[in-house]
Formats: sequence, structure tokens, C-alpha cells
Amino acid sequence: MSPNLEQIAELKGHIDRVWSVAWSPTGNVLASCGGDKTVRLWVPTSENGSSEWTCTHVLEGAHKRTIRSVTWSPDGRQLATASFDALTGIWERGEDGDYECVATLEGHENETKSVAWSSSGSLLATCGRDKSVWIWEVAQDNDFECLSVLQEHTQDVKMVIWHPTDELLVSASYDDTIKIWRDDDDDWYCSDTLEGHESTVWAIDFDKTGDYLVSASDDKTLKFWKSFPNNNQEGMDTYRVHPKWKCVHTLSGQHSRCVYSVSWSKVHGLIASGSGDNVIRVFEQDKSQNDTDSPNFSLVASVSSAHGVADVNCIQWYPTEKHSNWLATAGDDGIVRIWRFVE
Amino acid sequence: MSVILKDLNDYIAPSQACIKPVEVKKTNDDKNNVIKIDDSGGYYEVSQEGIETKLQTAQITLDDCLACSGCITSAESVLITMQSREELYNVLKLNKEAIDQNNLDQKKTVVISMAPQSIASIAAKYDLTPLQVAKRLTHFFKSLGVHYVFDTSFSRDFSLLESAREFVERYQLYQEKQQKKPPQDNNIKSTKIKRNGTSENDGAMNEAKLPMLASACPGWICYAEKTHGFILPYISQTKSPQQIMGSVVKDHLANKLGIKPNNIYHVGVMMCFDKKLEASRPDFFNDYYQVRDVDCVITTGEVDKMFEENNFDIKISEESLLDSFIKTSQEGALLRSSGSSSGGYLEFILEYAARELFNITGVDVEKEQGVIVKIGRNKDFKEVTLEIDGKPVLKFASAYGFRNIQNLVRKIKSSNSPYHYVEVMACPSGCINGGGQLKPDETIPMKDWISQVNNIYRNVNSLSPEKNDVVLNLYSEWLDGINSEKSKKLLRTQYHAVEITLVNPLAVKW
Repeated sequence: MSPNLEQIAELKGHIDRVWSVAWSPTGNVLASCGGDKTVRLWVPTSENGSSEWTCTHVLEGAHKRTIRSVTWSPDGRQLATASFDALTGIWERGEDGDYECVATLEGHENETKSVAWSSSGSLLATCGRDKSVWIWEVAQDNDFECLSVLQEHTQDVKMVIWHPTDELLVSASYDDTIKIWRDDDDDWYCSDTLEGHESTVWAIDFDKTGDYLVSASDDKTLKFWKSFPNNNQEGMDTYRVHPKWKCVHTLSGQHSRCVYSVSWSKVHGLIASGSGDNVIRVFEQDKSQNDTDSPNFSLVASVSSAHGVADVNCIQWYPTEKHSNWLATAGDDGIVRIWRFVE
Repeated sequence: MSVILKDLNDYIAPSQACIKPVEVKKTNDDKNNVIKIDDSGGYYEVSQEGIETKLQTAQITLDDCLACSGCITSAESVLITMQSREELYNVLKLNKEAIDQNNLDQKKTVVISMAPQSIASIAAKYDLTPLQVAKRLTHFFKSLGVHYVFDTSFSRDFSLLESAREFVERYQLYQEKQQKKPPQDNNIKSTKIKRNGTSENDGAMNEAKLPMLASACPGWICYAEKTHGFILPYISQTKSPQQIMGSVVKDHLANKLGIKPNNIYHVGVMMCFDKKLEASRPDFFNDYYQVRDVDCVITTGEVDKMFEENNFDIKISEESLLDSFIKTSQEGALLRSSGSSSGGYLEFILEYAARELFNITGVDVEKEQGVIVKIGRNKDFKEVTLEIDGKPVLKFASAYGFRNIQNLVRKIKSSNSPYHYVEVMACPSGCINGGGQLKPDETIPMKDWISQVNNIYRNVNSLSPEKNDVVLNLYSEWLDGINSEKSKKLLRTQYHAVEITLVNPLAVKW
């Protein structure tokens, strides 16, 4: 039997579309957020029976508009939310067990779209409709210092993510590009611009090594990018002696509409994508290949109408070995779904 | 136009395309005419007879820029077209024609006021001293028909003295208020403030908000007015050096020469594009004479272009004597004020306040004497503390660049600012690195270039504004003395929150 995806749970509770889902670093809790201005935290009711889930917390009151994305700090103690009300919220679990908003970061002029914690937890990045990417340093007492405001994208910035180990930031934008940002003596600058997508880049993810990136775009493709070291044999130009990113593979013909989200499992290396044609697809790198400079990827499983007639807004692999074949998706139907990838 | 300001990071950049509608004025009321748009986006009205008339698109003025909440600072293309060297050339040309036709009452007196940062930038590029640049620029401008060439180091001394007095007033009022009243919530929401100046904002001084924030940077002022109305009462009401020069030229010089302000054409040579916007503020417009205090601002880069256009080689140019309103020593050497190349506000105000408020003399911030200087998380944030018996009594800071402004604004908003005064500048590295300055050859890293221009600026000897006799004399001769009504009227200004208007949704790019 060929591999497939089977739905194991439907998480209902949001009263508007769900924009984003995020597993806590250990995978014990799933956070979701959306148009109803809340974040909901979900856990399976029992260890074995994974079909029943409970919403343990509803985080609300801090944002006046849609919460576009949610993310956990690397230590799992805090959550960050990016909202259309221009604020970024920082949430922490208090002694009474409830989560409260302990800080709001102001600065973006209007809608913030995405927020991400660096691997060490010491930096936070945000981006938004004002075309800017902000880097914040986590100071004491839930205070955040703005380290940099990067304004080189020419349009709305859709998503920011950090490298799995290094202080290297990546942003994806409506200007069809991906930008790589580095720090040099406290000055953040763009070290590379990845051009190739023909429309908005909605989502990006690293592989577990951080040497490869995958991007999802409104041009209906997924692109794979590899970082080539400075002394590479291709003799490509480099900027400030940093690696240069180059597109090594394009997956097209797999989605008939905009690809909104992509997740690259850090455990087993499968790539899952979700799109505006309501489809989830899972891709695998061809193992027979030895040439890592031109990897090939092929479709191994898919689900159509994953959220009925609704868009799949976000997709994320379970982060650890324990349930590494689980996927969470968020849809315009207001439902969060958990899937199991069966080989 | 964006070529000019490309590759800048951490500056306050316009965040969206200009949203001012382009209105199409039809040539007549004939309803049967149609509008045609050609490939290049030009609009034509086509009458029934098939005659095409090109339609004018609406002009966007700097006034529109100031009143609009669309982008945080100025759309540079508008700045460049509204105030340009072409305007200056045009005035000079009309002057020549007036002389040729013996229409001397049509002739305008043309005055240039140069920023010392612009002089330093030109000095760096052409390997000259600032004094050589000042004398050669004087020669250059006068050869084009300009009558007077001044510098804004001169008017900045007024700005420093007024800022320091304003700080001491605020500090004393603040202390009184603290003693009288229980502590209050500082998060007073900004209220709509009318442009005619009759609103409650006139009483802003009575609020005596601390920290006092520097007012010389128009990029910062514009940003504060458009996005942080609550912070306006914190901003010093003292005019910038450029605008004080405007008062000197259009009030004092006009009276002295016996000519009307509208017969003087006053041009600023500045390190910064936003100085054009500052010159256009309605607050600096003389309603009676229908004229601005500063008629036109051109940047350092535009002056460099003027050299080319006039085949002027500054390396081998003759030198002219300097005019009177330039800050010079008795021997004729250029002078500056001590401290940062953004004007030395922090340094002078701290030294003045230490003496006036705590009787501590001999503080020299530039030499780090009598104060504790701490560089912040990045080089564009600096803290300077004056201590008495190990206890801080005055805490000043300089915050340059967008990121540091952000942190400062958030601290003040949450009442967590420990500062009494902050020298705020929108550009990283401050005014010496203004957007209008000359760029280095590609071989020279930007950091090295900025530090070179900075060194040239700071190698000029300094003299305290309190020892500038020309300025002190003008206080009595022109302003009816220190703290007079006239000095308040001519040396201070006010700020206005821009109302957020609903953005045209069609112009927004998501």
C-alpha cells in the first residue's frame, strides 16, 4: 500500500478562520490562532487515543484584530503572537496556570504578519505590511529592545523564520523575493536576496541542517534553495564572504492555486505543503541521488479537500521523534486538523 | 528618484507609495468627451471632433506631504522637485534680467546659509579644509550672483542657548510639579491639535514634560507628528538652526538692509532632504509677506552637482572673504560648538544645566570630564550622567537612527525613561551621515567615510555659544534681550499631530 495521510482529529473551537498552528518545542501542546483574535492551546486527552483533544487554554484580550501567527519560544515557556492590530504579543503561563500577555511590542505601523524566535531564544523577529522586518533583543523582565528595522523589501513581508542553529534570519515577501539577514557588529544587513518566484512568497522553512530552504509561493510552486559556501567550485559571487543561496529545484504542477504554507520535518526530512486549492501534499527527497547540489523531490502522499472547500492556511510537522508522522493544519473553515502520515 | 536614497538602512523610510490622489482636471464641461490613457500613463481628453488635449495631473506640494498621514516621512521625489537648484538658478536668472532691464525693485537679495556638516562633507571629498571650503563656496555662490553666504553654526548658537534655557525652565517646573502633586499617569493621549496654534498645545510648556527631546532633526519631528502624537509635548520648542537662520535673515537682516522679507530669497545648503520639508512648514511661513523664512533648501549632493553644471573646480578655486554671520574666531578661522557632529545639543545643555541647576562648573562632555559616558547596545545610543556624591542628578542620552528612536519612544510611553534630555536624530551616526551628504568612492567602506567626515567636522575648533559675541549682541540689538517676548516668538515653535486619515484602499499594496 502506498503512503497516505489519514485524519486523526478535528479540533473545533475557533469561531473564525484559523490562520496558523504551532507545536510547542516538545510537541506536547498545539497552539492555533485566527480571525477570532484568540490563541487556543490543545492537548490530546489521552496518551494513546489521539482522536480526542481538549482545548486547555484560550488566550484572549490582548489583540484587537486578527492574530495572524503564533509561535513558541525555544524553551516552550512563552508564546508570541503577530496581529493585524500592529502589535506583537508575548504570553507567559502564570503561577495560576493561566496564560497572560506580559508584553506587547509596538513599532510596526500596521498589520504584523509573522513572528519568530531565534534558536537561542535571545532574539525575536517580526514583519508586516509596512514592508519592514524588525529584530528585537529579549532583555530582562519581559522587556524587548529594538535592534534593527530592516526596510529593504519593497512590499508586504509575509513571513520570517530563523536558521535552526545560527543567528541568521530569512524573510519572504509580496515583492516575490526571499531575503537573508545577518548581523555584523550589531548592524543587521541583507546578505542575499533570493529571486526566482514569479509571485508572492508566502512561506519558508529550513531543513534540519539549515543548509537548505524551501519556499512556497503564489506562483503555485515550491522552490528549494541551497547555501553554497564562499569557496565553492561554481565560483559564484558572494557578499561580505557569506554563502550564496541558489535555487536547486522547483516543484511545479503540484498545486493548482497559491501555496500558502510549507513545513520541512526536522526529524525525517519530509516536506508538507498546504494551498488555496484545499490540498495537502507530502514530498520526499529522492534517496538514490548522490548529487546534493541538484536534489530531486517527488510526491508521496496527498489529501484533496483537506478542509472541505476551504483554503489550507498553515501546515506544520510534529517537532519530535515521538509523533514525527503527525501533521497539523489550519483552515479557513475554522478547524484545526491533525493528520497521520502512514507509510 | 529612489536612486538617490537607495541602500540606506535604519533610516526612517516612507512605508508606502504616495496616496494623494492624482486628480484629473478636464478642460471643459462637454460630457461627450472621453479620456484616453496612453502607454506611458499620460491622460488625454478626446473631444467629439477627435482632438486630443493632454491633461495635467495634480501637483503634490510639500504642504500635502506634511498634512498627510500616508507615509511616515516625505516622498523624496516631491521634495526634490519642489525645492531644487533649478529654483535657485531661476531666481538668479530673473535677477540678472531685472538688472539688465533696470527693474531694480524686482531684484531679490539672495542669501545662502550653509550647514557645517555640508562643509565637512565637501571638504572630505575634495581633500580641503572646512575653512577652504567655506571661502571657496562663498566665491562660487557669489560668482553666480548670490549676495550673502552665511553658515548655520552661527544660528545654531541661538538654538543651543535657547534649548539650554528651555531645558532649565522645564526641569525647574518639573521639580515643582513633582513636589506639589502626587505622581500622575504620564500616558496622556494625544489630542487633535489645530494648525492655527490657538489650541491647548500652547500650554505645552506648562506641562513641563521630561525628558526634553531635541527638535533640530526634521525627520524625527515629522515621524513624531505622524505616528506618536503623545510625544510632541516632550519635544523642545526651540527652532532648528536652519529655521533660526530663517528668522535672522528674514527679520533682522531684512530690517538692517531696509528690504522686505519677500524681497529676500533665502536658500539653505543642508545635509538632509527632510530640511526641505522643515522649510515648508506652515509655522515658518510669514502670512503678511506671503513668504517662507527659508525659501529653498538644497542638499550637499545638489551643490556638488552645481559645481559640475557651472564648470567649477573647487580644488583650484579662488577664495572670497567670509560674510559676517558665520561662526569664526577673531583670526577668521571657522568655529563650531563642542560635542557631536549633530550639533552638540546634549553636550552644551548638560554643561549649562550642571552650572545653572547644580552650580557645577568645569564639566566638559566631549572630553568626558565631570560626567560618566556609557555607550549603549549600539554606537548610536549613548548615555551621559552627571553625578553628585555618587548619585545621578542629570541623565542625558543621544539616540540616533530608527531603532534607537523606537526604543526611546517605547520607554517614554511606558514611563520607563530615566532620561532628562535626549538628543534624537533620525539618521544613524547623526547629521554628519545625513541623506543629502556626498557618498564615498565605492572603494571606501561607508563606516570609514562617515568617520572621516566626522573627524574633519570635529577638527574645527570649538567655542561655547555663550562666548559668541555676535550672537550675544544680537540678543540685545535684535531680540530685546534674553527671554523676551520677541526672542520667544522668533526662536521657538510648536508641533502638530497629524490626524490619521483613512488610506485609499486601492493604493495599499498588501
